[in-house]
Amino acid sequence: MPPPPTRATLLLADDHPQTAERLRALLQRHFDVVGLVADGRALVRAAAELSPDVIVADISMPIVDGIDAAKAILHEAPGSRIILVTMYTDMVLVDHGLAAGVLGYVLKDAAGSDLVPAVRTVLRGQRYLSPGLGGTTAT
Amino acid sequence: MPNSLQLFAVLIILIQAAAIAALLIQRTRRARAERPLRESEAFFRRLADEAPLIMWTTTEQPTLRYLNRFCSEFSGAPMAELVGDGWLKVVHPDDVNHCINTYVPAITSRRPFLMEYRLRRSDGVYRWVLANGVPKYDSAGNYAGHIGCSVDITERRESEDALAASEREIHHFAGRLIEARDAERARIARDLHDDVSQQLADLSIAFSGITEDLGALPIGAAMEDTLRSFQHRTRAIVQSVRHLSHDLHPAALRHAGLVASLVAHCAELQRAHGTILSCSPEGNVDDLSPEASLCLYRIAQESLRNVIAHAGASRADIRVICSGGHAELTIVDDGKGFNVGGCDGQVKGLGLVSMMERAKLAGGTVSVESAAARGTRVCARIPIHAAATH
Repeated sequence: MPPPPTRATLLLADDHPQTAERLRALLQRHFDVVGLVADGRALVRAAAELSPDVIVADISMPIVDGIDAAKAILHEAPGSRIILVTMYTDMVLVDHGLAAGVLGYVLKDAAGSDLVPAVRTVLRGQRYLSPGLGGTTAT
Repeated sequence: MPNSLQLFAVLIILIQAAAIAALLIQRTRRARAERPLRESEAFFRRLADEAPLIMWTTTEQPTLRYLNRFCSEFSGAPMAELVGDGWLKVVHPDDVNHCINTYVPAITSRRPFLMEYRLRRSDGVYRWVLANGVPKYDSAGNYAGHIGCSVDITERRESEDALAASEREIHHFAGRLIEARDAERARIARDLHDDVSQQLADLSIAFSGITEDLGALPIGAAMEDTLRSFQHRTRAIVQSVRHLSHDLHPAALRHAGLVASLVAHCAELQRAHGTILSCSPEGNVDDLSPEASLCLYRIAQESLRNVIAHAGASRADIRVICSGGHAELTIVDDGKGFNVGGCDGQVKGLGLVSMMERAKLAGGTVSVESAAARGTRVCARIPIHAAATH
């Protein structure tokens, strides 16, 4: 029997405990959630400590928001694979994040169907945008 | 010879008598001529003394010759103390210079004048009076000093001051109203986003979890469709709440800045209404304070609303220029234009008024230029570090 394939490690950031747990349960089925934080500053710290395969972060978070945290993480470790989970559909925010090097955007209300495919896509080093975002932003 | 001397003396006496007679005749004539003048002067004074307002005359120099009885009664000072320059003693000390600088040059150059100043009443209270003086001329057309009257305008001044104060108060409240509305909208938008949307998103994620679990069960297929429709409906509600929240307060402004937000707003409006909209920045627009960004965003939003609803324009262009500590937002459209000043010269329409109040609140201004068939140009100029006033 071949050994079970190693599961990818994820770091999750969301300041809503209920949603955070729900996302953790969703992701845990397929990946290893190695850390859960509730603000942007803790996310930057945890990312440096845990070096996860993928970081899944909410945009609206206290202290430092998801976009600024993503910028800081990408500044420290340029190859980081980051997916932002957001309630916002503004393409302007998406463009802003993509310009900073964020790989994936998932609409929070579509996370149930989109988040797992999103993680799989960015693990291959490709971009993922929730269909609700238009999905045709320049690559 | 004594005869000729006597004759000479008689001649002298006769000449003197003739001269005296001539003088007497002249004096009688003058007296006859002056009588009507004296009578008319007396008539004037009698009339003036009865009048319920201050009346006065000056000499040919800027000094008071006469004051009516009302002035004495009003100020409580005898007329003898007030004529000449004495009246200046009952003028409010702060107004003395203003008076001197007004009436002296007017009288010297024989011009009419108006002068507002405070005069001490007999009870010690200073009252605002308006003096109105004009040059007077005698029947031969010679300048004979100024004549004028002074009326108590304290009540008018008080109404004017009260009106000015209430106008200031209205502006203050208009500003506070905008601030309060912005704060309230931002709070509701935040609540919708942070609470309602999150809960709905959570519900949507939960539905998809259950749907996935059910897929493995024999009875699952039928339930799966129902649950999927629930999930879709939940997402539709999220979408509605999202639009509501965005309309209340543009979250993108905080994350992506003014220009990116305006570009997105233009794209959205262009998609929905077909009007061609562009937005271009100049200078370092990133320096704008959050308050300045919100102010300009709201002004642009209001202008674009007008462009789409009223102008019938085929295109509009927005420019944001930052330089020298100021940000300038210009929106130019090619629409049908309108009459900026109403018949009373005031800018009509609540939209324009709120734009102006908003700019004023940020320490700036808005100008609107428009003419029929020539399009409209709205220009807002505010300090880039504009902050909330409270």
